[in-house]
Amino acid sequence: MEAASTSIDGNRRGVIRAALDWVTRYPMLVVLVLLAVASEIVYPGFFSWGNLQNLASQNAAVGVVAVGMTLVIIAGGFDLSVGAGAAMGAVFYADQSGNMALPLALLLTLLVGAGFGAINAFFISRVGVNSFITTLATTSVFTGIALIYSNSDTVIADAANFDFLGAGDIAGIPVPLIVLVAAFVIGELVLKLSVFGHKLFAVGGNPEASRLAGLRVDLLKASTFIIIGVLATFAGAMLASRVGIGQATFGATIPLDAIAVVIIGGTSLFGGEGSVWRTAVGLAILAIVNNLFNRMALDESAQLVAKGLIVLFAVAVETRFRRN
Amino acid sequence: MAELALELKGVGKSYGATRALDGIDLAIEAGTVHALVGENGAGKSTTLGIAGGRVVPTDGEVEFFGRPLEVGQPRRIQAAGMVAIYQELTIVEAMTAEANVFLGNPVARPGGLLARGEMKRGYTDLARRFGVKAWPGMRAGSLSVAEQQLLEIMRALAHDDVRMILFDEPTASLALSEKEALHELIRDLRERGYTMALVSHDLDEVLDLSDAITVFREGNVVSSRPRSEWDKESLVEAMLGRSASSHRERIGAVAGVAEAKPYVEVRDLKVDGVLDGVDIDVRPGEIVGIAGLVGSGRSTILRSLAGAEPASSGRLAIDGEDLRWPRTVRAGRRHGVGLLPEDRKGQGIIAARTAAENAVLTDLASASSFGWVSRKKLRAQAAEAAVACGFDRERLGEEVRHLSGGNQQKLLLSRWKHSRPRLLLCDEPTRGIDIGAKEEMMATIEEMAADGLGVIVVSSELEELLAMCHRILVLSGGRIVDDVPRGEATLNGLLQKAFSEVGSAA
Repeated sequence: MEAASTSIDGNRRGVIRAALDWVTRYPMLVVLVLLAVASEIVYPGFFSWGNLQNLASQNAAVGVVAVGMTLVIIAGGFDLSVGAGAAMGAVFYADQSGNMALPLALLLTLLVGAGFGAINAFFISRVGVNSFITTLATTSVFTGIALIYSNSDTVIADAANFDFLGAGDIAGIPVPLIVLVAAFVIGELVLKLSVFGHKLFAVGGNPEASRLAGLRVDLLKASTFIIIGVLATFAGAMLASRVGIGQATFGATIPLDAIAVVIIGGTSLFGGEGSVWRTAVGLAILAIVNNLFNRMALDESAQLVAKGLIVLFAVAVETRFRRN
Repeated sequence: MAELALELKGVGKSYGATRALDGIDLAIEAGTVHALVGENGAGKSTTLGIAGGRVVPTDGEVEFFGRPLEVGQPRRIQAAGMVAIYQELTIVEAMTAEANVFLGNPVARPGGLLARGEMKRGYTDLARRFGVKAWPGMRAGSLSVAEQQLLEIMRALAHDDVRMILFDEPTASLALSEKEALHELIRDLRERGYTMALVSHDLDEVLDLSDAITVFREGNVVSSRPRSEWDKESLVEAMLGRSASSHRERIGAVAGVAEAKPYVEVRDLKVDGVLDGVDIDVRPGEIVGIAGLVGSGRSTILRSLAGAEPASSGRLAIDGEDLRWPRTVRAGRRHGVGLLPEDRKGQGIIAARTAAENAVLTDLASASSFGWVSRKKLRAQAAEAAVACGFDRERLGEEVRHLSGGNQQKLLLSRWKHSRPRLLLCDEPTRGIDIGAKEEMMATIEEMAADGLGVIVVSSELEELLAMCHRILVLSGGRIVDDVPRGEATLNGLLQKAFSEVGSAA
């Protein structure tokens, strides 16, 4: 390899090197572009407005949670309990929507999410239990609460406009799409431009150095769990709104999907590095792949296998290229 | 000419566009100790890494006892008889001392069972030869760094066919007495015919131990000569490419401190089992040094004052004002106490973030408005502070992990240049950084002191304390046992004091 590259003249070598450097830095962006082109060739009209709307609506819940997951992982944590949070959000919002105005019901739902997040945060930041273990345990707790709350039954929501959040539109643009774009834009801005975001990177990158620099490491880490708690119940509310019912079984695939999306994007699982736009790339890849599989009429078991392989591939790529 | 153990011919290493090593020639004679010195980034560690197999050279040839070395193949290189002891030890803390020595090469009986008895005998054998006192069954994590390092050397020597050992900064994290012991061991190994290569920042050590010295600068070998042709001045000059401002001049640079009343008063500082009532006064503009052995509680004093040691107690007054004893770093900071921590990597830098961001980490608010960071402000604030600490403005946008230790340390100091503490605490401010950066660090600390704040410096390098401090306190057995004003302090005096008290306390 060395011999070959030395024979190329310097200028061209520089261009090739720059291109290679870019590819190794953003391998998943390349994958996304290839996928997008491929799917447009195989299924002309893949990028029609209708299909894009569809894609966004299907993936909005996972996307919103994935934004939160990006913050949590960058700050050095991990949250498995988001599926249970979403389930609780779904049954709670569906149930309360009959009792009060929808915005109020939504607000209450998000408060429940904040409460769930606070429970995680307490054990992780205050007591010092590993976040993986904590959220593994609270997954069970939160799921149980959602089941008890709903009597393990389907909660039917018949309030007017209940479907607004998950299936409504504003001036022809689907609400889930608006929510999705807003979540990613706000997430990226907060992470890249706010003092809070900068501190999250520091805390995830080196907690001890952050502590000695006077950052409130515990509080910062805790805040990410509360944020994702809120986002998880919000995602649950969207799921319920989309189908008009709430069930404690909703959101079962959210934790793995959200984590997969963050990892595929290339945010470091070790914390301290990553970005929300990367997660957006991850989400787009997963969404396109799912959509392709659906069109090819691949059954769900095959999709599961493929999804797992994609995650493995992404992690392998990150390990080989980015860790250097 | 004597037999050559290691010979590098035109060996180079490029990282992308950066040329870390620029086609060097180097010959190390068998049975000698050969030191490689130079500033950080000069190429000495890269050279060592190539010889040890963990860095793959881009070009050139390497021969080991006349045979081509299989570069980039650490295991093959080891099998050929060359082992490397890197700065980051590869000790498995949860395993026993004995298991660590035979790690990767356990003695096994047919059938795959471990030959425990044999390994124990092997361990005891090695331990006797090298004066290791660690019990074979002790958990390696409970041993001191020096003992862990010995384990690593024992591991290296457990192979019978070892002929050459590479040491990367072997004494950087050792206490004085431990350093001496390791020096003895190295001499002893030479007696037994081993060849050794040594990378070290400690020029006294280099001059003391080696038979030949090679000086690196900017990826090239500047000069490779026998020990007898070098002295400290010529080494420094070769490393820097210019003559360094001498110690004498610098001593004159430390301004005198008026006989003002103390600016910082620390009384009865206690930490259970470590510090037993420490009193410290610092006058405005004064640099007070703390000398003592590793484990004497030097760092604990600084950490306590900074609020990083919640189990501490004591009384603190700054500028005549009695303050609540700081129990969190934030409280310490509100009092105006800033800590430059001991472990740059573990406690100081955020490796994946830019230099600019690291420089203002303690005060991000100053680079933002309404909670949003302004790139321009960040850049300006960082530039002001970092440049004052001798950091290159052009490199503010780089990720800190790509910077040399000296540059990282300048950034950490610039945090406090930026948020202007009343009491600055420096824990090993120049550990493991090159001479040029060292001088700049010391000069910046002196400048900051001259602004009228109080400074306390802890350092294992007594010469550094002698050069920059107005007063040196000797810490031993958790107490200040001596307070030596500048001018009266000598290296030997301090050493004796620090050691003798330990002896009498025990």
